[in-house]
Amino acid sequence: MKNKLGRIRVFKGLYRRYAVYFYLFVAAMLILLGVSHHPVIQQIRISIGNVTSSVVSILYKPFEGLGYAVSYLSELGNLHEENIRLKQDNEKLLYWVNRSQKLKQENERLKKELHFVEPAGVRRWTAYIAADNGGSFSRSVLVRAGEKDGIKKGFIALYNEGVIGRIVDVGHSVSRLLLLTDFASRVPVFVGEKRLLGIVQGNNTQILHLTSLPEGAEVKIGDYITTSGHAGVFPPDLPIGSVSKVSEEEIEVLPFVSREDTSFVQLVDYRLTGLLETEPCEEEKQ
Amino acid sequence: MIRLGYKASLLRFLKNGIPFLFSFFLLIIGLFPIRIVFLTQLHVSLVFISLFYWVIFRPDLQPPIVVFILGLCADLFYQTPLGLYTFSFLLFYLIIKNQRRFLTNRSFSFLWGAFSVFVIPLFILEWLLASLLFLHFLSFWSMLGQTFLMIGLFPLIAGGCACLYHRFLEVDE
Repeated sequence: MKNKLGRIRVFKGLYRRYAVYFYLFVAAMLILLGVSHHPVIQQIRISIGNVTSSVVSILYKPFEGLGYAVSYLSELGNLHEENIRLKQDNEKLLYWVNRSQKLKQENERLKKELHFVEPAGVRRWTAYIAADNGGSFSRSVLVRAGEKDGIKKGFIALYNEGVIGRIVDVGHSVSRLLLLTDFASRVPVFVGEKRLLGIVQGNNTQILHLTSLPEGAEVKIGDYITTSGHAGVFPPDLPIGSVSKVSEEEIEVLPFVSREDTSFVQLVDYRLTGLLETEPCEEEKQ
Repeated sequence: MIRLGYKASLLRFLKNGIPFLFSFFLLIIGLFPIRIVFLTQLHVSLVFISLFYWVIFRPDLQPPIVVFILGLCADLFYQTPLGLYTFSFLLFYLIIKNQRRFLTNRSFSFLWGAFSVFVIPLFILEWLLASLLFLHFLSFWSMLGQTFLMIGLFPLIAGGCACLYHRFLEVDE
Protein backbone atom coordinates (compact mmCIF):
# COMPACT_ATOMS: atom_id res chain seq x y z
CA MET A 1 0.00 0.00 0.00
CA LYS A 2 2.84 2.35 1.00
CA ASN A 3 4.64 1.45 -2.23
CA LYS A 4 1.55 2.25 -4.27
CA LEU A 5 1.11 5.62 -2.56
CA GLY A 6 4.78 6.37 -3.11
CA ARG A 7 4.49 5.56 -6.79
CA ILE A 8 1.44 7.81 -7.13
CA ARG A 9 3.34 10.61 -5.39
CA VAL A 10 6.31 10.16 -7.76
CA PHE A 11 3.97 10.14 -10.73
CA LYS A 12 2.23 13.31 -9.50
CA GLY A 13 5.59 15.01 -9.02
CA LEU A 14 6.71 14.07 -12.53
CA TYR A 15 3.38 15.23 -13.94
CA ARG A 16 3.66 18.60 -12.17
CA ARG A 17 7.17 19.06 -13.51
CA TYR A 18 6.71 17.91 -17.07
CA ALA A 19 2.98 18.41 -17.76
CA VAL A 20 3.52 21.52 -19.85
CA TYR A 21 6.06 19.71 -22.06
CA PHE A 22 3.70 16.79 -22.42
CA TYR A 23 0.87 19.09 -23.57
CA LEU A 24 3.26 20.92 -25.89
CA PHE A 25 4.06 17.57 -27.46
CA VAL A 26 0.34 16.80 -27.83
CA ALA A 27 -0.18 20.25 -29.42
CA ALA A 28 2.62 19.55 -31.91
CA MET A 29 0.90 16.24 -32.74
CA LEU A 30 -2.35 18.13 -33.24
CA ILE A 31 -0.59 20.43 -35.72
CA LEU A 32 0.58 17.38 -37.67
CA LEU A 33 -2.96 15.98 -37.58
CA GLY A 34 -4.29 19.34 -38.79
CA VAL A 35 -1.92 19.33 -41.76
CA SER A 36 -3.69 16.22 -43.05
CA HIS A 37 -6.87 18.35 -43.49
CA HIS A 38 -9.01 15.41 -42.47
CA PRO A 39 -12.72 16.14 -43.15
CA VAL A 40 -13.60 14.93 -39.64
CA ILE A 41 -11.85 18.00 -38.16
CA GLN A 42 -14.04 20.28 -40.26
CA GLN A 43 -17.11 18.29 -39.25
CA ILE A 44 -16.21 18.72 -35.57
CA ARG A 45 -15.69 22.44 -36.13
CA ILE A 46 -19.03 22.96 -37.81
CA SER A 47 -20.82 20.90 -35.12
CA ILE A 48 -19.19 23.07 -32.45
CA GLY A 49 -20.20 26.08 -34.57
CA ASN A 50 -23.86 25.03 -34.18
CA VAL A 51 -23.51 25.44 -30.41
CA THR A 52 -21.17 28.45 -30.25
CA SER A 53 -23.24 30.49 -32.71
CA SER A 54 -26.29 30.06 -30.43
CA VAL A 55 -24.26 31.11 -27.40
CA VAL A 56 -22.81 34.08 -29.31
CA SER A 57 -26.23 35.26 -30.50
CA ILE A 58 -27.44 35.36 -26.86
CA LEU A 59 -24.33 37.01 -25.43
CA TYR A 60 -23.92 39.46 -28.30
CA LYS A 61 -27.36 41.07 -27.81
CA PRO A 62 -26.29 43.58 -25.13
CA PHE A 63 -23.13 44.46 -27.10
CA GLU A 64 -24.96 44.91 -30.41
CA GLY A 65 -26.21 48.38 -29.49
CA LEU A 66 -22.75 49.32 -28.27
CA GLY A 67 -21.25 48.25 -31.61
CA TYR A 68 -23.75 50.38 -33.51
CA ALA A 69 -23.07 53.35 -31.22
CA VAL A 70 -19.30 53.10 -31.78
CA SER A 71 -19.65 52.85 -35.56
CA TYR A 72 -22.16 55.75 -35.50
CA LEU A 73 -19.74 57.93 -33.53
CA SER A 74 -16.79 57.02 -35.77
CA GLU A 75 -18.90 57.96 -38.84
CA LEU A 76 -19.81 61.34 -37.30
CA GLY A 77 -16.24 62.58 -37.75
CA ASN A 78 -16.32 61.98 -41.52
CA LEU A 79 -19.77 63.43 -42.06
CA HIS A 80 -18.68 66.35 -44.24
CA GLU A 81 -16.41 64.29 -46.53
CA GLU A 82 -19.04 61.57 -46.69
CA ASN A 83 -21.64 64.12 -47.80
CA ILE A 84 -19.43 65.44 -50.62
CA ARG A 85 -18.68 61.87 -51.75
CA LEU A 86 -22.36 60.91 -51.70
CA LYS A 87 -23.31 63.97 -53.79
CA GLN A 88 -20.70 62.99 -56.38
CA ASP A 89 -21.88 59.37 -56.31
CA ASN A 90 -25.46 60.52 -56.70
CA GLU A 91 -24.62 62.47 -59.87
CA LYS A 92 -22.88 59.40 -61.31
CA LEU A 93 -25.76 57.14 -60.31
CA LEU A 94 -28.36 59.39 -61.95
CA TYR A 95 -26.42 59.11 -65.20
CA TRP A 96 -26.24 55.31 -64.82
CA VAL A 97 -29.95 55.00 -63.99
CA ASN A 98 -30.86 56.62 -67.31
CA ARG A 99 -28.27 54.59 -69.14
CA SER A 100 -29.33 51.28 -67.57
CA GLN A 101 -32.98 51.97 -68.45
CA LYS A 102 -32.02 52.34 -72.11
CA LEU A 103 -29.79 49.24 -71.96
CA LYS A 104 -32.56 47.23 -70.28
CA GLN A 105 -35.02 48.12 -73.02
CA GLU A 106 -32.44 47.29 -75.68
CA ASN A 107 -31.60 44.01 -73.95
CA GLU A 108 -35.27 42.97 -73.80
CA ARG A 109 -35.76 43.84 -77.46
CA LEU A 110 -32.69 41.81 -78.52
CA LYS A 111 -33.74 38.83 -76.39
CA LYS A 112 -37.12 38.88 -78.06
CA GLU A 113 -35.59 39.02 -81.54
CA LEU A 114 -33.19 36.16 -80.74
CA HIS A 115 -35.90 34.04 -78.99
CA PHE A 116 -33.58 33.85 -75.98
CA VAL A 117 -34.40 31.12 -73.42
CA GLU A 118 -33.91 32.36 -69.82
CA PRO A 119 -31.78 30.09 -67.56
CA ALA A 120 -33.53 28.26 -64.72
CA GLY A 121 -34.37 30.58 -61.86
CA VAL A 122 -32.04 30.83 -58.90
CA ARG A 123 -33.15 30.25 -55.33
CA ARG A 124 -32.29 32.72 -52.57
CA TRP A 125 -32.11 32.57 -48.78
CA THR A 126 -31.39 35.43 -46.42
CA ALA A 127 -29.32 34.55 -43.37
CA TYR A 128 -27.73 36.61 -40.66
CA ILE A 129 -24.09 36.38 -39.65
CA ALA A 130 -24.08 34.47 -36.38
CA ALA A 131 -20.39 34.43 -35.50
CA ASP A 132 -17.09 35.61 -36.86
CA ASN A 133 -14.97 32.48 -36.65
CA GLY A 134 -12.16 33.75 -38.83
CA GLY A 135 -8.95 34.72 -37.13
CA SER A 136 -5.50 35.91 -37.99
CA PHE A 137 -5.12 33.06 -40.39
CA SER A 138 -8.48 32.92 -42.10
CA ARG A 139 -11.47 35.05 -43.02
CA SER A 140 -14.74 33.25 -42.56
CA VAL A 141 -18.04 33.66 -40.75
CA LEU A 142 -20.81 31.36 -39.56
CA VAL A 143 -24.24 32.14 -41.00
CA ARG A 144 -27.45 31.10 -39.29
CA ALA A 145 -28.76 28.75 -41.98
CA GLY A 146 -27.83 25.14 -42.50
CA GLU A 147 -28.90 21.75 -43.77
CA LYS A 148 -32.33 22.05 -42.17
CA ASP A 149 -32.95 25.19 -44.25
CA GLY A 150 -31.81 23.58 -47.49
CA ILE A 151 -28.38 25.22 -47.64
CA LYS A 152 -25.72 23.31 -49.55
CA LYS A 153 -21.98 23.56 -50.12
CA GLY A 154 -21.16 25.91 -52.99
CA PHE A 155 -23.96 28.45 -52.52
CA ILE A 156 -22.80 31.98 -53.30
CA ALA A 157 -23.16 34.71 -50.68
CA LEU A 158 -24.14 38.15 -51.95
CA TYR A 159 -24.86 41.50 -50.39
CA ASN A 160 -26.35 44.24 -52.55
CA GLU A 161 -25.67 41.90 -55.49
CA GLY A 162 -21.91 42.06 -54.80
CA VAL A 163 -20.08 38.81 -54.00
CA ILE A 164 -18.97 38.40 -50.40
CA GLY A 165 -17.95 34.71 -50.48
CA ARG A 166 -19.24 31.16 -50.77
CA ILE A 167 -20.45 28.38 -48.49
CA VAL A 168 -17.77 25.79 -47.84
CA ASP A 169 -19.14 23.81 -44.88
CA VAL A 170 -22.71 23.09 -43.92
CA GLY A 171 -23.86 22.08 -40.45
CA HIS A 172 -27.33 21.35 -39.12
CA SER A 173 -28.30 24.95 -38.39
CA VAL A 174 -25.21 26.95 -39.38
CA SER A 175 -22.92 27.10 -42.40
CA ARG A 176 -19.41 28.40 -42.84
CA LEU A 177 -19.03 31.18 -45.33
CA LEU A 178 -15.52 31.58 -46.73
CA LEU A 179 -15.01 35.25 -47.50
CA LEU A 180 -13.37 36.48 -50.70
CA THR A 181 -10.63 37.99 -48.54
CA ASP A 182 -9.58 34.61 -47.15
CA PHE A 183 -6.15 33.39 -48.13
CA ALA A 184 -7.65 30.20 -49.59
CA SER A 185 -10.11 32.08 -51.82
CA ARG A 186 -9.34 32.17 -55.56
CA VAL A 187 -11.88 33.48 -58.05
CA PRO A 188 -11.46 33.57 -61.85
CA VAL A 189 -12.47 37.06 -62.99
CA PHE A 190 -12.86 39.40 -65.93
CA VAL A 191 -11.02 42.72 -65.63
CA GLY A 192 -12.23 45.98 -67.14
CA GLU A 193 -14.03 46.58 -70.42
CA LYS A 194 -11.58 44.35 -72.34
CA ARG A 195 -12.65 41.48 -70.08
CA LEU A 196 -9.10 40.30 -69.45
CA LEU A 197 -8.98 36.99 -67.64
CA GLY A 198 -7.33 36.94 -64.22
CA ILE A 199 -7.60 35.50 -60.75
CA VAL A 200 -8.56 37.43 -57.65
CA GLN A 201 -7.16 36.02 -54.45
CA GLY A 202 -7.49 36.90 -50.80
CA ASN A 203 -4.65 37.62 -48.42
CA ASN A 204 -6.44 37.69 -45.04
CA THR A 205 -6.63 41.49 -45.25
CA GLN A 206 -9.35 43.87 -46.47
CA ILE A 207 -7.77 44.01 -49.94
CA LEU A 208 -7.76 41.40 -52.72
CA HIS A 209 -4.91 40.75 -55.13
CA LEU A 210 -5.27 40.37 -58.86
CA THR A 211 -2.93 37.76 -60.38
CA SER A 212 -2.47 35.46 -63.39
CA LEU A 213 -3.21 38.18 -65.96
CA PRO A 214 -2.18 37.60 -69.57
CA GLU A 215 1.27 38.89 -70.60
CA GLY A 216 1.28 42.65 -71.31
CA ALA A 217 -2.23 43.19 -69.97
CA GLU A 218 -3.01 46.82 -69.21
CA VAL A 219 -4.93 47.37 -66.02
CA LYS A 220 -5.82 50.78 -64.64
CA ILE A 221 -7.24 52.05 -61.36
CA GLY A 222 -11.02 51.88 -61.32
CA ASP A 223 -11.27 48.86 -63.65
CA TYR A 224 -14.36 46.87 -62.80
CA ILE A 225 -13.85 43.24 -61.72
CA THR A 226 -16.55 40.62 -62.23
CA THR A 227 -16.60 36.85 -61.93
CA SER A 228 -15.75 35.06 -65.19
CA GLY A 229 -17.63 31.85 -64.48
CA HIS A 230 -14.61 29.67 -65.24
CA ALA A 231 -14.23 26.54 -63.09
CA GLY A 232 -17.97 26.60 -62.44
CA VAL A 233 -17.79 27.71 -58.81
CA PHE A 234 -19.14 31.23 -59.39
CA PRO A 235 -21.56 32.17 -62.19
CA PRO A 236 -20.29 34.80 -64.64
CA ASP A 237 -20.68 38.58 -64.26
CA LEU A 238 -21.18 38.91 -60.53
CA PRO A 239 -19.56 42.12 -59.24
CA ILE A 240 -16.43 41.59 -57.12
CA GLY A 241 -14.75 44.98 -56.81
CA SER A 242 -12.62 47.54 -58.59
CA VAL A 243 -8.88 47.96 -59.07
CA SER A 244 -7.57 50.28 -56.33
CA LYS A 245 -3.81 50.17 -56.83
CA VAL A 246 -1.52 49.22 -59.71
CA SER A 247 2.20 48.83 -59.11
CA GLU A 248 5.07 46.83 -60.60
CA GLU A 249 4.79 44.16 -57.90
CA GLU A 250 1.05 43.80 -57.45
CA ILE A 251 -2.44 44.89 -58.41
CA GLU A 252 -4.84 45.50 -55.56
CA VAL A 253 -8.61 45.19 -55.73
CA LEU A 254 -11.02 46.82 -53.32
CA PRO A 255 -14.05 44.53 -52.93
CA PHE A 256 -17.49 46.13 -53.34
CA VAL A 257 -18.66 44.35 -50.21
CA SER A 258 -16.63 43.83 -47.09
CA ARG A 259 -17.46 41.73 -44.06
CA GLU A 260 -18.11 44.83 -41.93
CA ASP A 261 -20.75 46.22 -44.32
CA THR A 262 -23.50 43.90 -43.24
CA SER A 263 -25.05 41.64 -40.63
CA PHE A 264 -27.03 39.74 -43.27
CA VAL A 265 -26.11 37.95 -46.46
CA GLN A 266 -28.11 36.50 -49.27
CA LEU A 267 -27.26 32.88 -50.09
CA VAL A 268 -27.94 32.04 -53.71
CA ASP A 269 -28.17 28.64 -55.31
CA TYR A 270 -26.95 29.00 -58.89
CA ARG A 271 -27.01 25.20 -59.25
CA LEU A 272 -23.25 25.13 -59.77
CA THR A 273 -20.97 22.48 -58.36
CA GLY A 274 -17.71 23.21 -60.13
CA LEU A 275 -14.54 22.31 -58.27
CA LEU A 276 -16.51 21.56 -55.13
CA GLU A 277 -17.86 18.37 -56.65
CA THR A 278 -15.66 15.67 -55.15
CA GLU A 279 -17.92 12.65 -55.54
CA PRO A 280 -17.39 10.97 -58.93
CA CYS A 281 -20.52 10.71 -61.03
CA GLU A 282 -22.18 7.32 -61.65
CA GLU A 283 -20.64 6.89 -65.13
CA GLU A 284 -17.14 7.57 -63.79
CA LYS A 285 -17.70 5.08 -60.96
CA GLN A 286 -18.61 2.37 -63.45
CA MET B 1 -9.27 18.31 8.08
CA ILE B 2 -12.26 20.65 7.68
CA ARG B 3 -15.00 19.29 5.43
CA LEU B 4 -16.76 21.91 3.35
CA GLY B 5 -20.50 21.74 2.79
CA TYR B 6 -22.02 21.13 -0.62
CA LYS B 7 -22.73 24.83 -1.24
CA ALA B 8 -19.35 25.99 0.01
CA SER B 9 -17.58 23.41 -2.20
CA LEU B 10 -19.54 24.52 -5.23
CA LEU B 11 -18.80 28.16 -4.47
CA ARG B 12 -15.10 27.40 -4.09
CA PHE B 13 -15.13 25.41 -7.34
CA LEU B 14 -16.74 28.33 -9.17
CA LYS B 15 -14.34 30.84 -7.65
CA ASN B 16 -11.36 28.73 -8.64
CA GLY B 17 -12.80 28.45 -12.13
CA ILE B 18 -12.89 32.23 -12.62
CA PRO B 19 -9.56 32.48 -14.52
CA PHE B 20 -10.63 29.75 -16.95
CA LEU B 21 -14.15 31.14 -17.34
CA PHE B 22 -12.84 34.65 -17.96
CA SER B 23 -10.42 33.43 -20.66
CA PHE B 24 -13.18 31.31 -22.17
CA PHE B 25 -15.50 34.33 -22.20
CA LEU B 26 -12.81 36.28 -24.10
CA LEU B 27 -12.68 33.43 -26.62
CA ILE B 28 -16.44 33.76 -27.13
CA ILE B 29 -16.18 37.57 -27.40
CA GLY B 30 -13.75 37.03 -30.28
CA LEU B 31 -16.59 35.28 -32.14
CA PHE B 32 -18.91 38.29 -31.89
CA PRO B 33 -19.88 39.46 -35.38
CA ILE B 34 -18.73 43.03 -34.67
CA ARG B 35 -18.89 45.40 -37.63
CA ILE B 36 -16.02 47.70 -36.65
CA VAL B 37 -13.08 47.11 -38.98
CA PHE B 38 -10.18 47.22 -36.54
CA LEU B 39 -11.98 45.22 -33.83
CA THR B 40 -12.83 42.33 -36.14
CA GLN B 41 -9.11 41.54 -36.25
CA LEU B 42 -8.84 40.76 -32.54
CA HIS B 43 -10.29 37.25 -32.29
CA VAL B 44 -8.24 35.02 -30.02
CA SER B 45 -5.54 37.52 -29.13
CA LEU B 46 -7.29 38.90 -26.02
CA VAL B 47 -6.90 35.52 -24.33
CA PHE B 48 -3.12 36.06 -24.21
CA ILE B 49 -3.68 39.02 -21.84
CA SER B 50 -5.86 36.93 -19.55
CA LEU B 51 -3.33 34.05 -19.59
CA PHE B 52 -0.51 36.48 -18.79
CA TYR B 53 -2.37 37.94 -15.81
CA TRP B 54 -3.51 34.70 -14.24
CA VAL B 55 -0.17 32.91 -14.68
CA ILE B 56 1.47 35.74 -12.72
CA PHE B 57 -1.17 36.21 -10.03
CA ARG B 58 -2.79 32.79 -9.64
CA PRO B 59 -0.67 30.14 -11.40
CA ASP B 60 -2.28 27.47 -9.20
CA LEU B 61 -5.61 28.14 -10.94
CA GLN B 62 -4.09 28.11 -14.41
CA PRO B 63 -2.42 24.66 -14.72
CA PRO B 64 -1.14 23.44 -18.12
CA ILE B 65 -4.25 21.31 -18.69
CA VAL B 66 -6.46 24.42 -18.46
CA VAL B 67 -4.20 26.24 -20.94
CA PHE B 68 -4.33 23.19 -23.21
CA ILE B 69 -8.15 23.09 -23.09
CA LEU B 70 -8.35 26.82 -23.84
CA GLY B 71 -5.99 26.40 -26.80
CA LEU B 72 -7.96 23.45 -28.13
CA CYS B 73 -11.22 25.41 -27.83
CA ALA B 74 -9.60 28.31 -29.72
CA ASP B 75 -8.44 25.91 -32.44
CA LEU B 76 -11.90 24.40 -32.82
CA PHE B 77 -13.90 27.63 -32.55
CA TYR B 78 -11.79 29.45 -35.13
CA GLN B 79 -10.63 28.45 -38.58
CA THR B 80 -6.94 28.20 -37.71
CA PRO B 81 -4.61 25.32 -38.42
CA LEU B 82 -5.44 22.74 -35.73
CA GLY B 83 -3.08 22.87 -32.76
CA LEU B 84 -1.62 26.28 -33.58
CA TYR B 85 -3.28 28.17 -30.72
CA THR B 86 -2.85 25.22 -28.36
CA PHE B 87 0.87 25.33 -29.07
CA SER B 88 1.07 29.15 -28.84
CA PHE B 89 -0.87 29.30 -25.56
CA LEU B 90 1.30 26.60 -23.97
CA LEU B 91 4.52 28.21 -25.19
CA PHE B 92 3.38 31.57 -23.83
CA TYR B 93 2.42 29.90 -20.54
CA LEU B 94 5.84 28.25 -20.29
CA ILE B 95 7.69 31.52 -20.92
CA ILE B 96 5.63 33.54 -18.43
CA LYS B 97 5.79 30.79 -15.79
CA ASN B 98 9.59 30.70 -16.06
CA GLN B 99 9.85 34.49 -15.79
CA ARG B 100 7.20 34.81 -13.07
CA ARG B 101 9.64 35.70 -10.28
CA PHE B 102 10.67 38.82 -12.23
CA LEU B 103 7.05 39.80 -12.80
CA THR B 104 5.47 39.50 -9.35
CA ASN B 105 5.08 42.59 -7.14
CA ARG B 106 5.65 44.93 -10.06
CA SER B 107 3.77 48.02 -11.15
CA PHE B 108 1.01 47.86 -13.72
CA SER B 109 3.02 49.78 -16.33
CA PHE B 110 5.94 47.37 -15.87
CA LEU B 111 3.60 44.43 -16.52
CA TRP B 112 2.22 46.18 -19.59
CA GLY B 113 5.75 46.67 -20.95
CA ALA B 114 6.72 43.09 -20.09
CA PHE B 115 3.62 41.78 -21.86
CA SER B 116 4.60 43.71 -25.00
CA VAL B 117 8.14 42.31 -24.84
CA PHE B 118 6.90 38.72 -24.55
CA VAL B 119 4.04 38.88 -26.98
CA ILE B 120 5.72 40.45 -30.04
CA PRO B 121 8.29 37.64 -30.61
CA LEU B 122 5.58 35.08 -29.86
CA PHE B 123 3.34 36.54 -32.55
CA ILE B 124 6.20 36.61 -35.03
CA LEU B 125 6.79 32.93 -34.25
CA GLU B 126 3.06 32.25 -34.65
CA TRP B 127 3.07 34.08 -37.99
CA LEU B 128 6.09 32.04 -39.18
CA LEU B 129 4.49 28.78 -38.08
CA ALA B 130 1.19 29.66 -39.78
CA SER B 131 3.03 30.70 -42.96
CA LEU B 132 4.86 27.38 -42.89
CA LEU B 133 1.59 25.47 -42.51
CA PHE B 134 -0.03 27.43 -45.36
CA LEU B 135 3.20 27.17 -47.44
CA HIS B 136 2.87 30.90 -48.12
CA PHE B 137 3.83 34.06 -46.23
CA LEU B 138 0.70 35.53 -44.69
CA SER B 139 0.23 39.28 -44.33
CA PHE B 140 2.82 40.29 -41.72
CA TRP B 141 1.56 43.85 -41.28
CA SER B 142 -1.98 42.71 -40.56
CA MET B 143 -0.60 40.38 -37.90
CA LEU B 144 1.62 43.10 -36.43
CA GLY B 145 -1.30 45.56 -36.39
CA GLN B 146 -3.35 43.00 -34.49
CA THR B 147 -0.50 42.56 -31.98
CA PHE B 148 -0.26 46.31 -31.32
CA LEU B 149 -4.03 46.54 -30.96
CA MET B 150 -3.86 43.76 -28.40
CA ILE B 151 -1.09 45.57 -26.51
CA GLY B 152 -3.24 48.71 -26.58
CA LEU B 153 -6.15 46.82 -25.04
CA PHE B 154 -3.99 45.33 -22.28
CA PRO B 155 -5.13 47.80 -19.58
CA LEU B 156 -8.79 47.05 -20.28
CA ILE B 157 -8.52 43.26 -20.13
CA ALA B 158 -5.89 43.15 -17.38
CA GLY B 159 -8.05 45.66 -15.46
CA GLY B 160 -10.97 43.23 -15.75
CA CYS B 161 -8.75 40.41 -14.48
CA ALA B 162 -7.52 42.62 -11.61
CA CYS B 163 -11.11 43.41 -10.57
CA LEU B 164 -11.98 39.70 -10.47
CA TYR B 165 -8.76 38.90 -8.62
CA HIS B 166 -9.28 41.51 -5.90
CA ARG B 167 -12.99 40.76 -5.55
CA PHE B 168 -12.90 36.95 -5.46
CA LEU B 169 -9.45 35.42 -5.50
CA GLU B 170 -7.02 37.53 -3.49
CA VAL B 171 -8.22 36.33 -0.05
CA ASP B 172 -7.69 32.69 -0.98
CA GLU B 173 -3.96 33.08 -1.45
